[in-house]
Amino acid sequence: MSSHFNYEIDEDRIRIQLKEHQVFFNEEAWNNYEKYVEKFRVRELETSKKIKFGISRNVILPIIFFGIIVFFTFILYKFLSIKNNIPLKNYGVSISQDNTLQPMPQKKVLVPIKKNIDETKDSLSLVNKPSADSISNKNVSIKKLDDIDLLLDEKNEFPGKKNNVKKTSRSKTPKKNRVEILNPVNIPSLLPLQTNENTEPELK
Amino acid sequence: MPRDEFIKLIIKNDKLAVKGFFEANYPRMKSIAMRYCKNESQANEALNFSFYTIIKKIQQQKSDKLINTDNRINETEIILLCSRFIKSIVSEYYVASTVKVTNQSTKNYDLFESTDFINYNSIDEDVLIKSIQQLVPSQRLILNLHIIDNYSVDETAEILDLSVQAVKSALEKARYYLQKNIEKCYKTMKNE
Repeated sequence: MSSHFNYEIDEDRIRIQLKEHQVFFNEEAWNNYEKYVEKFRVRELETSKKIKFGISRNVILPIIFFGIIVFFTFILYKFLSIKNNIPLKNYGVSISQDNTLQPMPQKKVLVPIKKNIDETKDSLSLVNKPSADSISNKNVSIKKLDDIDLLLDEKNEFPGKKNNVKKTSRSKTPKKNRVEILNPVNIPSLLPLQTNENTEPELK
Repeated sequence: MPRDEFIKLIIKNDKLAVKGFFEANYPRMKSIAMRYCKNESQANEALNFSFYTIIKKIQQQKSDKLINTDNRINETEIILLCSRFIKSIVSEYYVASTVKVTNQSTKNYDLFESTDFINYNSIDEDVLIKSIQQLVPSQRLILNLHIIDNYSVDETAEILDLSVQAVKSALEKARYYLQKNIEKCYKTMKNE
């Protein structure tokens, strides 16, 4: 700025002058304003759409995931039965207040079967050898073993009467109702019923 | 129409009421916008921005002091909104101002060089507005706020987020360039 500058403007005068200055209204100005407002309305609509999208994304997705989790838990709950099998005695709780004795359930005793034969032989003749169960169920008559009178044990494991009871052939006058009960003989269950490997058991 | 009823209609966004409100306030708003902006098109933008903001504020019931008893917008509100609008145009407010200030040394604006006599007591309104519009935005704002709208230097500094010293410095420059612009305008008018 020049040092010779002389400020000559009367500020009060221009203040009054500019304050009193007015522009007349015209319709064009209103139209311009309406166009301006229209822009804002479009923007507001766009933003409102965006907000709606945001809400749906934030709310619906967690709901969907929660639904999936609940669905899978329901399926798992249906297929897996989680029962507490630990006896309550361990927790110090006595349940049996009823002192009446209940009959023990009869246990089915199975004939112990011992393997006396080599496994190699067993494996080879496994197909041909009948098991003890098969013998009892199919009423196998053993002809070759004369010394053995009875194959079954005393507990009547096998229901067939023919094997348990045998009529004595020594009595001259056989009586119809006389039956001699023999002592049970402990037989190794997996006795080689057939000595020869090639021979097959005869089935009735 | 009573003030409360008028406000109710504006809140309902009654088109006739809004248009009436716009029509009533347009002359004053336009004249303020004209001296705060660099040209007429920018003044129209500033006017639309100010009026729309005021309508929104009334509809959101943020302030009761926006409308006077004579159903006119409070002048302070218009001035503040115009200032905000000019400051929002960052490229002009910050960049253009600095460019103009750096280039000013190349030209000689010595007023004593002019031989024509200018009566500064009777300046034409259009010349005055044009001269103000030719100022850089920061100087224009300060000149308008302090000299024409009668805000103190401190208030001006607060409105524009500037230091008092910066306002004083810009005010000095604004006065100088205003006088120079008036002279220039008269010169061009004479040449035409």
